[in-house]
Amino acid sequence: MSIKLQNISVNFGDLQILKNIDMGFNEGEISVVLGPSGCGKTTILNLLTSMNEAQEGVLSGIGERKISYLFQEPRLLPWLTVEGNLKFVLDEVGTADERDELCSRFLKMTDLSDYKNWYPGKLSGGMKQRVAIARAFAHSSDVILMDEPFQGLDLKLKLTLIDQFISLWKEERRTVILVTHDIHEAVKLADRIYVLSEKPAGVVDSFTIEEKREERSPGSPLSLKYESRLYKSLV
Amino acid sequence: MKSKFLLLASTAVLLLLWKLVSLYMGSEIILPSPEAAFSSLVELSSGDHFLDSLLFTIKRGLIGFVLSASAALVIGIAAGENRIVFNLLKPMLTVIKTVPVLSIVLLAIIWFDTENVPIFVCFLVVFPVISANVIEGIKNVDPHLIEMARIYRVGKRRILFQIYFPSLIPYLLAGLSTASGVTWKAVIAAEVISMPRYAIGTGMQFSQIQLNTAELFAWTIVAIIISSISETFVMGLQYLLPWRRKL
Repeated sequence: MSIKLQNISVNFGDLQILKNIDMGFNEGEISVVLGPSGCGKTTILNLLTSMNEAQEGVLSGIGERKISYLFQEPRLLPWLTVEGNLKFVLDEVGTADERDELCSRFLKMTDLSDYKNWYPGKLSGGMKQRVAIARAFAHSSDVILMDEPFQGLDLKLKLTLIDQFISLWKEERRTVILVTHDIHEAVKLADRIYVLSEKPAGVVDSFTIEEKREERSPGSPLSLKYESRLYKSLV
Repeated sequence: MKSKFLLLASTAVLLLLWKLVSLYMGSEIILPSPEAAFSSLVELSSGDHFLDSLLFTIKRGLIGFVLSASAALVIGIAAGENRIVFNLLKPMLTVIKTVPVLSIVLLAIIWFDTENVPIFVCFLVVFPVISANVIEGIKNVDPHLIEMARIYRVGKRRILFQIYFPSLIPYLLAGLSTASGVTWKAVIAAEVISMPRYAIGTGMQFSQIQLNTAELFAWTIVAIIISSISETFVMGLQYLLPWRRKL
Protein backbone atom coordinates (compact mmCIF):
# COMPACT_ATOMS: atom_id res chain seq x y z
CA MET A 1 0.00 0.00 0.00
CA SER A 2 1.47 3.35 -0.95
CA ILE A 3 1.70 6.26 1.45
CA LYS A 4 -0.64 9.12 0.54
CA LEU A 5 -1.03 12.73 1.63
CA GLN A 6 -4.36 14.15 0.48
CA ASN A 7 -5.13 17.84 0.74
CA ILE A 8 -2.84 18.19 3.78
CA SER A 9 -2.49 21.60 5.47
CA VAL A 10 -0.35 22.32 8.52
CA ASN A 11 -0.29 25.50 10.59
CA PHE A 12 2.01 26.45 13.46
CA GLY A 13 -0.17 29.00 15.23
CA ASP A 14 -0.94 31.71 12.70
CA LEU A 15 1.81 30.58 10.35
CA GLN A 16 0.74 28.27 7.56
CA ILE A 17 3.51 25.81 6.69
CA LEU A 18 1.90 23.39 4.24
CA LYS A 19 -1.08 24.20 2.03
CA ASN A 20 -3.26 21.59 0.32
CA ILE A 21 -0.49 19.09 -0.27
CA ASP A 22 -1.25 16.03 -2.42
CA MET A 23 1.49 13.43 -2.70
CA GLY A 24 1.78 9.68 -3.14
CA PHE A 25 4.85 7.61 -2.27
CA ASN A 26 4.92 4.23 -4.01
CA GLU A 27 6.14 1.06 -2.35
CA GLY A 28 9.77 0.16 -2.99
CA GLU A 29 10.50 3.46 -4.75
CA ILE A 30 12.61 6.45 -3.86
CA SER A 31 10.43 9.57 -3.74
CA VAL A 32 12.06 12.95 -3.40
CA VAL A 33 10.45 16.08 -1.99
CA LEU A 34 12.45 19.02 -3.29
CA GLY A 35 12.02 22.56 -2.08
CA PRO A 36 13.82 25.70 -0.99
CA SER A 37 15.40 25.79 2.49
CA GLY A 38 12.90 26.39 5.27
CA CYS A 39 9.84 25.76 3.10
CA GLY A 40 8.46 23.01 5.35
CA LYS A 41 9.93 19.87 3.81
CA THR A 42 10.87 18.42 7.19
CA THR A 43 7.29 19.00 8.36
CA ILE A 44 6.20 16.39 5.81
CA LEU A 45 8.55 13.85 7.41
CA ASN A 46 7.34 14.94 10.86
CA LEU A 47 3.77 14.18 9.79
CA LEU A 48 4.85 10.67 8.81
CA THR A 49 6.55 10.11 12.20
CA SER A 50 3.58 11.70 14.05
CA MET A 51 5.77 14.47 15.43
CA ASN A 52 3.50 17.05 13.79
CA GLU A 53 -0.22 16.89 13.09
CA ALA A 54 -2.11 18.14 10.08
CA GLN A 55 -5.00 20.54 10.67
CA GLU A 56 -6.62 19.47 7.42
CA GLY A 57 -6.41 16.54 5.04
CA VAL A 58 -5.91 12.80 5.17
CA LEU A 59 -2.68 10.89 5.67
CA SER A 60 -2.88 7.20 4.81
CA GLY A 61 -0.65 4.16 4.38
CA ILE A 62 1.83 4.94 7.16
CA GLY A 63 -0.12 3.69 10.21
CA GLU A 64 1.98 1.51 12.45
CA ARG A 65 4.67 0.81 9.88
CA LYS A 66 8.25 0.64 11.03
CA ILE A 67 10.34 3.63 10.09
CA SER A 68 14.07 4.26 9.74
CA TYR A 69 15.19 7.86 9.71
CA LEU A 70 18.34 9.43 8.31
CA PHE A 71 18.76 12.85 9.86
CA GLN A 72 20.86 15.78 8.66
CA GLU A 73 23.35 14.85 11.37
CA PRO A 74 24.22 11.20 12.06
CA ARG A 75 22.79 11.11 15.63
CA LEU A 76 25.02 8.26 16.79
CA LEU A 77 25.41 7.37 20.45
CA PRO A 78 29.00 8.41 21.28
CA TRP A 79 29.38 5.75 23.99
CA LEU A 80 28.49 2.85 21.71
CA THR A 81 30.78 1.38 19.07
CA VAL A 82 29.81 1.43 15.40
CA GLU A 83 28.37 -2.07 15.81
CA GLY A 84 26.70 -1.06 19.08
CA ASN A 85 24.96 1.81 17.31
CA LEU A 86 23.48 -0.62 14.77
CA LYS A 87 22.42 -3.05 17.50
CA PHE A 88 20.77 -0.21 19.41
CA VAL A 89 17.94 -0.07 16.83
CA LEU A 90 17.59 -3.82 16.29
CA ASP A 91 14.50 -5.59 17.61
CA GLU A 92 15.16 -8.02 20.41
CA VAL A 93 14.16 -10.98 18.28
CA GLY A 94 16.30 -13.87 17.11
CA THR A 95 19.54 -15.00 18.68
CA ALA A 96 22.57 -12.83 19.46
CA ASP A 97 24.42 -14.58 16.63
CA GLU A 98 21.68 -13.65 14.18
CA ARG A 99 21.86 -10.03 15.26
CA ASP A 100 25.66 -10.08 14.94
CA GLU A 101 25.31 -11.50 11.45
CA LEU A 102 22.78 -8.85 10.44
CA CYS A 103 25.09 -6.07 11.66
CA SER A 104 28.10 -7.61 9.92
CA ARG A 105 26.16 -7.74 6.67
CA PHE A 106 25.28 -4.04 6.67
CA LEU A 107 28.69 -2.99 7.96
CA LYS A 108 30.27 -4.91 5.11
CA MET A 109 27.95 -3.31 2.57
CA THR A 110 28.93 0.14 3.82
CA ASP A 111 32.67 -0.73 4.02
CA LEU A 112 32.65 -0.34 7.78
CA SER A 113 33.63 -3.87 8.83
CA ASP A 114 37.10 -2.76 9.91
CA TYR A 115 35.64 -0.03 12.09
CA LYS A 116 32.96 -2.00 13.90
CA ASN A 117 34.69 -1.60 17.28
CA TRP A 118 35.44 2.09 16.82
CA TYR A 119 33.62 4.81 18.73
CA PRO A 120 31.94 7.57 16.69
CA GLY A 121 34.27 10.21 18.17
CA LYS A 122 37.14 8.72 16.14
CA LEU A 123 35.26 8.69 12.81
CA SER A 124 35.11 11.37 10.12
CA GLY A 125 31.81 13.10 9.28
CA GLY A 126 31.33 10.98 6.15
CA MET A 127 32.00 7.73 8.03
CA LYS A 128 29.54 8.69 10.75
CA GLN A 129 26.85 9.28 8.13
CA ARG A 130 27.71 5.88 6.62
CA VAL A 131 27.10 4.30 10.02
CA ALA A 132 23.74 6.11 10.10
CA ILE A 133 22.91 4.66 6.66
CA ALA A 134 23.90 1.15 7.81
CA ARG A 135 21.75 1.65 10.91
CA ALA A 136 18.75 2.73 8.81
CA PHE A 137 18.96 -0.46 6.76
CA ALA A 138 19.80 -2.74 9.70
CA HIS A 139 16.54 -1.67 11.36
CA SER A 140 13.77 -3.90 10.05
CA SER A 141 11.74 -0.99 8.68
CA ASP A 142 9.44 -0.75 5.65
CA VAL A 143 10.01 2.94 5.15
CA ILE A 144 13.19 5.03 5.25
CA LEU A 145 12.75 8.76 5.75
CA MET A 146 15.71 10.97 4.88
CA ASP A 147 16.09 14.59 5.89
CA GLU A 148 18.94 15.99 3.77
CA PRO A 149 21.42 13.41 5.07
CA PHE A 150 24.09 14.28 2.48
CA GLN A 151 24.10 17.98 3.28
CA GLY A 152 27.43 19.45 4.37
CA LEU A 153 29.57 16.69 2.84
CA ASP A 154 32.06 17.45 0.09
CA LEU A 155 30.97 16.56 -3.46
CA LYS A 156 33.10 13.45 -3.87
CA LEU A 157 32.05 12.04 -0.53
CA LYS A 158 28.43 12.90 -1.21
CA LEU A 159 28.48 11.00 -4.55
CA THR A 160 30.17 7.99 -2.92
CA LEU A 161 27.59 7.90 -0.14
CA ILE A 162 24.72 8.27 -2.61
CA ASP A 163 26.09 5.35 -4.68
CA GLN A 164 26.48 3.27 -1.55
CA PHE A 165 22.94 4.14 -0.52
CA ILE A 166 21.58 3.17 -3.94
CA SER A 167 23.33 -0.20 -3.92
CA LEU A 168 21.96 -0.95 -0.44
CA TRP A 169 18.49 0.15 -1.52
CA LYS A 170 18.61 -2.05 -4.63
CA GLU A 171 19.20 -5.08 -2.41
CA GLU A 172 16.57 -4.13 0.14
CA ARG A 173 13.96 -2.22 -1.90
CA ARG A 174 12.53 -0.22 0.96
CA THR A 175 10.15 2.67 0.40
CA VAL A 176 12.29 5.81 0.66
CA ILE A 177 11.16 9.40 1.08
CA LEU A 178 13.97 11.93 0.81
CA VAL A 179 13.58 15.65 1.40
CA THR A 180 16.27 17.89 0.01
CA HIS A 181 16.98 21.25 -1.57
CA ASP A 182 19.73 19.79 -3.77
CA ILE A 183 18.55 19.26 -7.35
CA HIS A 184 21.54 17.02 -8.29
CA GLU A 185 20.81 14.74 -5.38
CA ALA A 186 17.13 14.66 -6.32
CA VAL A 187 17.78 13.72 -9.96
CA LYS A 188 20.35 11.08 -9.06
CA LEU A 189 18.14 9.32 -6.51
CA ALA A 190 14.50 9.80 -7.43
CA ASP A 191 11.93 7.56 -9.02
CA ARG A 192 9.45 10.35 -8.42
CA ILE A 193 9.98 14.02 -7.55
CA TYR A 194 7.62 16.53 -5.92
CA VAL A 195 8.67 20.17 -6.03
CA LEU A 196 7.45 22.46 -3.27
CA SER A 197 7.03 26.23 -3.38
CA GLU A 198 8.09 28.74 -0.69
CA LYS A 199 6.04 28.85 2.54
CA PRO A 200 3.13 28.10 2.72
CA ALA A 201 4.44 25.20 0.67
CA GLY A 202 2.32 23.67 -2.05
CA VAL A 203 3.28 21.22 -4.81
CA VAL A 204 4.30 23.21 -7.92
CA ASP A 205 5.57 20.33 -10.04
CA SER A 206 5.81 16.56 -9.90
CA PHE A 207 7.10 13.96 -12.32
CA THR A 208 8.55 10.47 -12.58
CA ILE A 209 12.04 9.61 -13.78
CA GLU A 210 12.01 6.30 -15.61
CA GLU A 211 15.61 6.18 -16.79
CA LYS A 212 18.17 4.05 -14.95
CA ARG A 213 20.21 5.73 -12.22
CA GLU A 214 23.46 4.75 -13.94
CA GLU A 215 22.53 7.15 -16.77
CA ARG A 216 22.02 10.02 -14.36
CA SER A 217 25.62 10.82 -13.47
CA PRO A 218 26.31 14.50 -12.73
CA GLY A 219 26.69 16.55 -15.93
CA SER A 220 25.12 13.90 -18.19
CA PRO A 221 22.58 15.20 -20.76
CA LEU A 222 19.79 13.29 -19.00
CA SER A 223 20.61 14.79 -15.61
CA LEU A 224 20.88 18.26 -17.14
CA LYS A 225 17.42 17.88 -18.71
CA TYR A 226 15.77 17.07 -15.39
CA GLU A 227 17.88 19.53 -13.42
CA SER A 228 16.87 22.31 -15.76
CA ARG A 229 13.19 21.45 -15.29
CA LEU A 230 13.64 21.46 -11.49
CA TYR A 231 15.54 24.72 -11.62
CA LYS A 232 12.67 26.38 -13.49
CA SER A 233 10.11 25.00 -11.04
CA LEU A 234 12.07 26.25 -8.05
CA VAL A 235 13.07 29.73 -9.19
CA MET B 1 55.31 16.72 34.33
CA LYS B 2 54.92 20.47 34.61
CA SER B 3 51.80 20.16 36.75
CA LYS B 4 53.57 17.68 39.08
CA PHE B 5 56.42 20.16 39.52
CA LEU B 6 53.93 22.97 40.29
CA LEU B 7 52.18 20.74 42.83
CA LEU B 8 55.47 19.99 44.57
CA ALA B 9 56.48 23.67 44.45
CA SER B 10 53.18 24.86 45.94
CA THR B 11 53.38 22.21 48.70
CA ALA B 12 56.94 23.32 49.49
CA VAL B 13 55.84 26.99 49.63
CA LEU B 14 52.96 26.07 51.95
CA LEU B 15 55.26 24.13 54.29
CA LEU B 16 57.77 26.95 54.28
CA LEU B 17 55.09 29.51 55.15
CA TRP B 18 53.81 27.21 57.91
CA LYS B 19 57.33 26.90 59.32
CA LEU B 20 57.93 30.67 59.21
CA VAL B 21 54.63 31.51 60.91
CA SER B 22 55.21 28.84 63.59
CA LEU B 23 58.66 30.33 64.24
CA TYR B 24 57.11 33.79 64.51
CA MET B 25 54.42 32.53 66.92
CA GLY B 26 56.99 30.68 68.98
CA SER B 27 54.43 28.47 70.69
CA GLU B 28 53.82 24.78 69.89
CA ILE B 29 50.34 25.04 71.44
CA ILE B 30 49.18 27.86 69.18
CA LEU B 31 50.88 26.68 65.98
CA PRO B 32 53.17 23.67 66.03
CA SER B 33 55.93 23.48 63.43
CA PRO B 34 55.53 21.17 60.43
CA GLU B 35 58.16 18.77 61.80
CA ALA B 36 56.33 18.61 65.17
CA ALA B 37 53.07 17.85 63.35
CA PHE B 38 54.69 15.16 61.20
CA SER B 39 56.49 13.54 64.13
CA SER B 40 53.17 13.53 65.97
CA LEU B 41 51.65 11.85 62.89
CA VAL B 42 54.30 9.11 63.01
CA GLU B 43 53.71 8.64 66.72
CA LEU B 44 49.93 8.64 66.24
CA SER B 45 50.01 6.10 63.43
CA SER B 46 51.92 3.62 65.56
CA GLY B 47 49.42 4.04 68.41
CA ASP B 48 46.88 1.44 69.56
CA HIS B 49 43.66 2.78 68.11
CA PHE B 50 44.89 4.70 65.08
CA LEU B 51 43.97 2.03 62.54
CA ASP B 52 40.57 1.43 64.19
CA SER B 53 39.81 5.17 64.14
CA LEU B 54 40.91 5.44 60.52
CA LEU B 55 38.93 2.41 59.34
CA PHE B 56 35.77 3.30 61.26
CA THR B 57 35.77 6.85 59.86
CA ILE B 58 36.31 5.51 56.33
CA LYS B 59 33.52 2.96 56.87
CA ARG B 60 31.07 5.63 58.03
CA GLY B 61 32.04 7.90 55.13
CA LEU B 62 31.64 5.12 52.57
CA ILE B 63 28.26 3.97 53.92
CA GLY B 64 26.90 7.54 54.01
CA PHE B 65 28.35 8.34 50.60
CA VAL B 66 27.11 5.20 48.85
CA LEU B 67 23.62 5.38 50.39
CA SER B 68 23.31 9.07 49.58
CA ALA B 69 24.70 8.74 46.05
CA SER B 70 22.32 5.85 45.28
CA ALA B 71 19.28 7.73 46.61
CA ALA B 72 20.37 10.93 44.82
CA LEU B 73 20.77 9.04 41.54
CA VAL B 74 17.29 7.49 41.66
CA ILE B 75 15.51 10.61 42.95
CA GLY B 76 17.57 12.90 40.69
CA ILE B 77 16.56 10.93 37.59
CA ALA B 78 12.90 11.05 38.66
CA ALA B 79 13.13 14.80 39.33
CA GLY B 80 14.95 15.48 36.06
CA GLU B 81 12.29 13.62 34.11
CA ASN B 82 9.19 14.68 36.02
CA ARG B 83 8.24 18.26 36.81
CA ILE B 84 6.05 17.28 39.80
CA VAL B 85 8.84 15.30 41.49
CA PHE B 86 11.22 18.20 40.79
CA ASN B 87 8.87 20.72 42.40
CA LEU B 88 8.40 18.44 45.42
CA LEU B 89 12.14 17.95 45.80
CA LYS B 90 13.23 21.55 45.29
CA PRO B 91 12.13 22.99 48.68
CA MET B 92 13.59 19.95 50.47
CA LEU B 93 16.94 20.45 48.77
CA THR B 94 16.90 24.15 49.67
CA VAL B 95 16.20 23.33 53.34
CA ILE B 96 18.93 20.66 53.48
CA LYS B 97 21.43 23.00 51.83
CA THR B 98 20.72 25.97 54.08
CA VAL B 99 20.44 24.24 57.48
CA PRO B 100 23.82 24.54 59.24
CA VAL B 101 25.68 21.22 59.43
CA LEU B 102 26.00 21.69 63.21
CA SER B 103 22.21 21.83 63.61
CA ILE B 104 21.94 18.56 61.70
CA VAL B 105 24.64 16.99 63.88
CA LEU B 106 23.03 18.11 67.14
CA LEU B 107 19.61 16.86 66.04
CA ALA B 108 21.11 13.59 64.80
CA ILE B 109 22.69 13.00 68.22
CA ILE B 110 19.19 13.15 69.69
CA TRP B 111 17.74 10.83 67.05
CA PHE B 112 20.47 8.22 66.48
CA ASP B 113 23.21 6.44 68.37
CA THR B 114 26.65 7.99 68.07
CA GLU B 115 27.89 5.43 65.51
CA ASN B 116 25.22 6.43 63.01
CA VAL B 117 25.28 10.21 63.47
CA PRO B 118 28.18 10.75 60.99
CA ILE B 119 26.49 8.46 58.43
CA PHE B 120 23.24 10.41 58.64
CA VAL B 121 25.01 13.77 58.42
CA CYS B 122 27.07 12.58 55.46
CA PHE B 123 23.90 11.37 53.74
CA LEU B 124 22.20 14.74 54.11
CA VAL B 125 25.22 16.80 53.07
CA VAL B 126 26.05 14.69 50.01
CA PHE B 127 22.48 14.23 48.75
CA PRO B 128 21.85 17.77 47.40
CA VAL B 129 25.25 17.89 45.67
CA ILE B 130 24.76 14.67 43.70
CA SER B 131 21.03 15.03 43.05
CA ALA B 132 21.55 18.56 41.64
CA ASN B 133 24.16 17.20 39.22
CA VAL B 134 21.95 14.27 38.22
CA ILE B 135 19.00 16.60 37.57
CA GLU B 136 21.26 18.83 35.47
CA GLY B 137 22.50 15.76 33.58
CA ILE B 138 18.99 14.53 32.82
CA LYS B 139 17.99 17.98 31.57
CA ASN B 140 21.00 17.99 29.26
CA VAL B 141 20.38 14.61 27.63
CA ASP B 142 20.53 15.26 23.88
CA PRO B 143 16.87 15.47 22.74
CA HIS B 144 17.96 14.52 19.22
CA LEU B 145 19.14 11.12 20.46
CA ILE B 146 15.85 10.57 22.29
CA GLU B 147 13.93 11.56 19.16
CA MET B 148 16.03 9.15 17.07
CA ALA B 149 15.38 6.32 19.55
CA ARG B 150 11.62 6.98 19.59
CA ILE B 151 11.39 7.01 15.78
CA TYR B 152 13.28 3.69 15.69
CA ARG B 153 10.85 2.46 18.38
CA VAL B 154 13.61 1.54 20.80
CA GLY B 155 12.21 0.25 24.12
CA LYS B 156 12.09 2.46 27.22
CA ARG B 157 14.51 0.23 29.11
CA ARG B 158 17.10 0.47 26.36
CA ILE B 159 16.62 4.26 26.17
CA LEU B 160 17.19 4.49 29.94
CA PHE B 161 20.29 2.29 30.00
CA GLN B 162 21.85 3.30 26.70
CA ILE B 163 20.98 6.99 26.42
CA TYR B 164 20.10 8.41 29.82
CA PHE B 165 22.70 6.61 31.97
CA PRO B 166 25.72 7.20 29.70
CA SER B 167 24.66 10.87 29.21
CA LEU B 168 24.54 11.25 32.98
CA ILE B 169 28.02 9.91 33.65
CA PRO B 170 30.01 13.19 33.27
CA TYR B 171 27.52 15.03 35.51
CA LEU B 172 27.47 12.17 38.00
CA LEU B 173 31.27 12.06 38.15
CA ALA B 174 31.45 15.82 38.73
CA GLY B 175 28.87 15.45 41.52
CA LEU B 176 30.67 12.47 43.05
CA SER B 177 33.97 14.33 42.94
CA THR B 178 32.58 17.38 44.80
CA ALA B 179 30.64 15.12 47.16
CA SER B 180 33.68 12.99 47.99
CA GLY B 181 35.41 16.08 49.39
CA VAL B 182 32.32 17.16 51.33
CA THR B 183 31.86 13.62 52.73
CA TRP B 184 34.97 13.65 54.92
CA LYS B 185 34.35 17.19 56.16
CA ALA B 186 30.81 16.22 57.20
CA VAL B 187 31.72 12.85 58.70
CA ILE B 188 34.63 14.18 60.74
CA ALA B 189 32.69 17.25 61.92
CA ALA B 190 29.89 14.95 63.05
CA GLU B 191 32.39 12.67 64.79
CA VAL B 192 33.95 15.60 66.67
CA ILE B 193 30.59 16.36 68.24
CA SER B 194 29.01 12.91 68.55
CA MET B 195 32.32 11.26 69.58
CA PRO B 196 31.88 7.63 68.56
CA ARG B 197 34.38 5.23 70.19
CA TYR B 198 36.75 4.94 67.22
CA ALA B 199 36.87 7.96 64.92
CA ILE B 200 39.24 10.55 63.49
CA GLY B 201 36.84 13.23 64.80
CA THR B 202 36.97 11.77 68.30
CA GLY B 203 40.77 11.76 68.11
CA MET B 204 40.70 15.42 67.09
CA GLN B 205 38.39 16.27 69.96
CA PHE B 206 40.70 14.59 72.50
CA SER B 207 43.76 16.31 71.02
CA GLN B 208 42.02 19.66 71.35
CA ILE B 209 40.91 19.04 74.94
CA GLN B 210 44.49 18.08 75.85
CA LEU B 211 45.83 21.14 73.98
CA ASN B 212 47.90 18.75 71.87
CA THR B 213 47.85 20.96 68.78
CA ALA B 214 50.53 18.96 66.98
CA GLU B 215 48.34 15.85 67.23
CA LEU B 216 45.32 17.85 66.04
CA PHE B 217 47.38 18.83 63.00
CA ALA B 218 48.39 15.18 62.54
CA TRP B 219 44.73 14.09 62.46
CA THR B 220 44.02 16.91 60.02
CA ILE B 221 46.77 15.66 57.73
CA VAL B 222 45.20 12.18 57.87
CA ALA B 223 41.82 13.69 56.89
CA ILE B 224 43.41 15.58 53.98
CA ILE B 225 45.07 12.39 52.73
CA ILE B 226 41.79 10.41 52.85
CA SER B 227 39.97 13.21 51.05
CA SER B 228 42.63 13.50 48.32
CA ILE B 229 42.71 9.75 47.73
CA SER B 230 38.93 9.52 47.41
CA GLU B 231 38.76 12.52 45.07
CA THR B 232 41.57 11.15 42.88
CA PHE B 233 39.79 7.79 42.79
CA VAL B 234 36.50 9.36 41.66
CA MET B 235 38.25 11.51 39.04
CA GLY B 236 40.06 8.40 37.79
CA LEU B 237 36.76 6.63 37.15
CA GLN B 238 36.25 8.64 33.96
CA TYR B 239 39.29 6.98 32.39
CA LEU B 240 37.48 3.65 32.67
CA LEU B 241 34.97 4.85 30.08
CA PRO B 242 36.14 3.36 26.77
CA TRP B 243 34.66 6.08 24.54
CA ARG B 244 36.67 8.71 26.42
CA ARG B 245 39.95 6.88 25.89
CA LYS B 246 42.20 7.63 22.97
CA LEU B 247 42.64 4.81 20.46
